[in-house]
Amino acid sequence: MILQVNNIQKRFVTASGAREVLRDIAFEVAEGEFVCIVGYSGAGKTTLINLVAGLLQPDAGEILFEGRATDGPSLERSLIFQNYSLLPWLSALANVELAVAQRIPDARKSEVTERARRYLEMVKLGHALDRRPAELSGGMRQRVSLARGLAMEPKLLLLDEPLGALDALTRAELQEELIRIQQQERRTVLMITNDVDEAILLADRIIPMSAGPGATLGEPVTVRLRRPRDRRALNFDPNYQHARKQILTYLLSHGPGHRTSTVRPALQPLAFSLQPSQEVA
Amino acid sequence: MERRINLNTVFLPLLGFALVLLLWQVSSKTWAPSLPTPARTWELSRPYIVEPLAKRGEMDQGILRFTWNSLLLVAKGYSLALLIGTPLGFFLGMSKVFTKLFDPLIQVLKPISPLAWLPLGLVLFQKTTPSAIFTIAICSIWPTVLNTAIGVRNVPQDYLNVGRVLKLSRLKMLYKILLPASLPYMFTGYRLSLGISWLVIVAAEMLTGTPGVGGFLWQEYNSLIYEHIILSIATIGLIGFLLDRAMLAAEKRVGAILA
Repeated sequence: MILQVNNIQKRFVTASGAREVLRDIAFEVAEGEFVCIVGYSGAGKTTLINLVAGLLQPDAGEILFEGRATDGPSLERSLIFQNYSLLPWLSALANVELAVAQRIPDARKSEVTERARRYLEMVKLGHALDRRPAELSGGMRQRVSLARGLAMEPKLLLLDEPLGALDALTRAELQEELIRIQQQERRTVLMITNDVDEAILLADRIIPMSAGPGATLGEPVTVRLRRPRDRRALNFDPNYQHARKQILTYLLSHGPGHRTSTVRPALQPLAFSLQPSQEVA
Repeated sequence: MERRINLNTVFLPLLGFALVLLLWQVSSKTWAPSLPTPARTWELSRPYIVEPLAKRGEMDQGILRFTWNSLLLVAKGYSLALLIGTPLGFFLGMSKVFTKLFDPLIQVLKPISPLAWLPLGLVLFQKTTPSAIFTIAICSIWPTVLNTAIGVRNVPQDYLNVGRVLKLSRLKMLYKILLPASLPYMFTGYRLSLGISWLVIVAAEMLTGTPGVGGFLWQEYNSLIYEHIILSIATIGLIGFLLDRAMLAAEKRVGAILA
């Protein structure tokens, strides 16, 4: 297992008190596997992937990468952000070059440029190398961001709702693109999404996530569909329908509000006994 | 429609200018008899304007020559302010300890007038030119310091996350992310600082007697040639306006890159 997440817990402390975001999260990703975590918006999916990326630290539990506990970000786990997070003062090429130069610090400039260019061509942006992010459409920006992640040639690629901010058509187009690139690159991928069909189209295994607060994971669903997958044929495939039903059943029975009666009282210790007037609110 | 825009953008400012000239003319004829009339001012200013680069004596030079001298002095004080102010702003923006240490002090030093700093400069440096540069620098440094600090504090978390995921070193984080991301704020600070250094130049030159627009102004006041005071005032205003416009253009350009 390249990634093992063991019973992690994460809470955020705000002015209004501690809020539990993730509870007892445990899953694994095998080498070469494409795993999707599907869940509600605001459930804590981004928090989870930021934990795996090393941008956040869990309050309890551990994250093992190649058997070793993680400690901060690593170039072997590259994260592709939901909002692209390209540096606006750099061209598409320069954005990717910055990442490549970190990955191969001793390489010559020409080597870095060549590699950055190759990955931008892979995402079909060979014609827009010199354009700055402001001069690119949303879909194109996410392609640059994808190229930046791929060009690092990481052992684990983390995708945080990479297509979440795109319109439906661009989204479908980029899904096709991801299928093609994955066919070619065969990376180990952990992807977050809120789109069940997108997950089934792309993943080998799907893990549903309950709504927050205190989100947990459901049983993984293995997608038994041959690759390369074609969305037009999928709809009628019994395996597709089966996977879809399993995930939706979990998600719908673990939606927002399902747990309101079981919120752990330990989270608001003694608040009402100290300020009885606020108890009603 | 287009005609009206032209009318408003060209005619109205001219009208405003004419109204002020009229007020000036009336004032010099009525309640302020020492104030030279516009025509008289133009007459006596002409040699300085038509031969802007002439040098007849140390304190008798064409207006552009005086301006050039003043600009050189401003450039020295202003560059000093940027060289010290920018890194200071970065430290202030990056470190909470540094902010707590120096922010109250800065707030106290900020409102001090150039007229107060200059004597201290003379005490410190004994000579007029260095103390003028010192005064310009210390008066104009604050907008650069404070705006740079605000810029650094406001660098979007997304960009910092990119830097962390890419494992940029501290130095690379500084010049690949923090510096470009806070550049628009820095330029706003630079523009405000330039405005202040130009304000300070007159006070500095008046007290030190250096040959420049401000020095000329003060000398002509002492020689009772009031027409030249008005010439100097107009020059200072015009140059200040041009400097501000140039910096504003630079600021907008930088802002556009980061849009």
